[in-house]
Amino acid sequence: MKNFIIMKSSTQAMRAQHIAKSMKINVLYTKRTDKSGCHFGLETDYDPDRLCRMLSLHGIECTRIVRKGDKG
Amino acid sequence: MIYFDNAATTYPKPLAVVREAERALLDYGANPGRAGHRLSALTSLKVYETREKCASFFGAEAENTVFTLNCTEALNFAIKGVAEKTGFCHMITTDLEHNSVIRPLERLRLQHKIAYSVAKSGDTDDELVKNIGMLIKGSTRLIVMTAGCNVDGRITPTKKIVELAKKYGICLIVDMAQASGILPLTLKDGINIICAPGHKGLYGPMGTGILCTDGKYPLSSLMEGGTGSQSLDINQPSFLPDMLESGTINTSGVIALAKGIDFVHSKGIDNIRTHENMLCDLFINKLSDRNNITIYRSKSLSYLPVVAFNLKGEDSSYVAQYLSDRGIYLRAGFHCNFLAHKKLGTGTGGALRFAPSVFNTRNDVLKLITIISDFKH
Repeated sequence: MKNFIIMKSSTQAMRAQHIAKSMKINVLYTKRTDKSGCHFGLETDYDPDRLCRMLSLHGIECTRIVRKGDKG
Repeated sequence: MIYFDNAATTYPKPLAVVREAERALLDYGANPGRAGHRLSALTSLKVYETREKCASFFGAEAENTVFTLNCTEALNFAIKGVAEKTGFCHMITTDLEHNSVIRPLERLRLQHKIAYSVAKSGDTDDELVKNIGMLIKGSTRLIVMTAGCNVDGRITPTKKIVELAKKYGICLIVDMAQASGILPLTLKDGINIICAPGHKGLYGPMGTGILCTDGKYPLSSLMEGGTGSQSLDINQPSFLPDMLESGTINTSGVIALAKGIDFVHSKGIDNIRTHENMLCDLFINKLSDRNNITIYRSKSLSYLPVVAFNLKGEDSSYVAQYLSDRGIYLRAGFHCNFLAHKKLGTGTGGALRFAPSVFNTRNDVLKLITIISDFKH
């Protein structure tokens, strides 16, 4: 499992994907479900903290990061 | 067949819009923003691309761009959303407004949620601005007005109203039902919320509407349900666009709307407006000197490419039927706007409305003029 960055909505995840791809960062728009609900976000092998910081410059808030190996 | 009812919905649609709607139904058949499988993600991407295009078109952020069923739904979301968030307050509108503005206001008034005043548009832009200004009081929280009247096409001085709204810290909602794709107004002009149809000047399919907000005035939901987000929370999400997009959107319509916006960009708003105004001028110039025709226009005002007219002594619907029988389609009656008809003096019989699109030609207009000239009851 890759790192998973949770966004608050499908629209934000799509926008985040668009921005990440424009920066040549390999991401995939994905849905995951855990005990707190259904989440849309980005799967990536890239440093998730760094990507979140970059996305925040575009007004996108990363709700949570599920790191590779975490159970979520 | 010659179609001049483009103020109701544009027809024909560009072929690219038709093809994209078909393609959406064939290739993007999953529900966007719900599942995580590839087809849903692909459909979500197409919807997102349209959202970006609409956002860019109206100077908004993608997240603050909401897809609705039509402009009426967008206006209801905007007016009632502001009312619910603000609490009892005073709102101002004008006597040029469609029922999609005046009816939500009246319903809110009957529910004792707001009070509202209707500003007289008068005979000049300055008069309208002055009349709105005179109605502003301490409790005024919203001005909602059209960018251009759907009956006679009168353009309102939106940028002057923006100044007024900003001066008093009042939210400004602009109904761009007739103006989108014709006037280059965006949120960057200082408008707080723009409501627009996708199926008129943007040449998208029917069943598409857009609400764009600058986010300064919070809204609330009018309809709650599934959004694909925060599914374990009994409450509706408080963020856009999810808050206002409960249930499945008109996915094929929305995806095809992107091609409508591409079409408008490819033609150019200025070119579209110039072409349609040229057709209106041709229509007016050829008929205005006839004694039996009344054209509802004033030299002191600016107009969208929409012309209201009547044949003296004739029922507008009878004339529309006469034209329909001869293959020319335009709309008669009250156009869901009794306020504007009352102001024009057509409050008892309505009027005919000539509304060309970018697809109409001079020959189309000349045929209409010939048939009107030969009209016999």
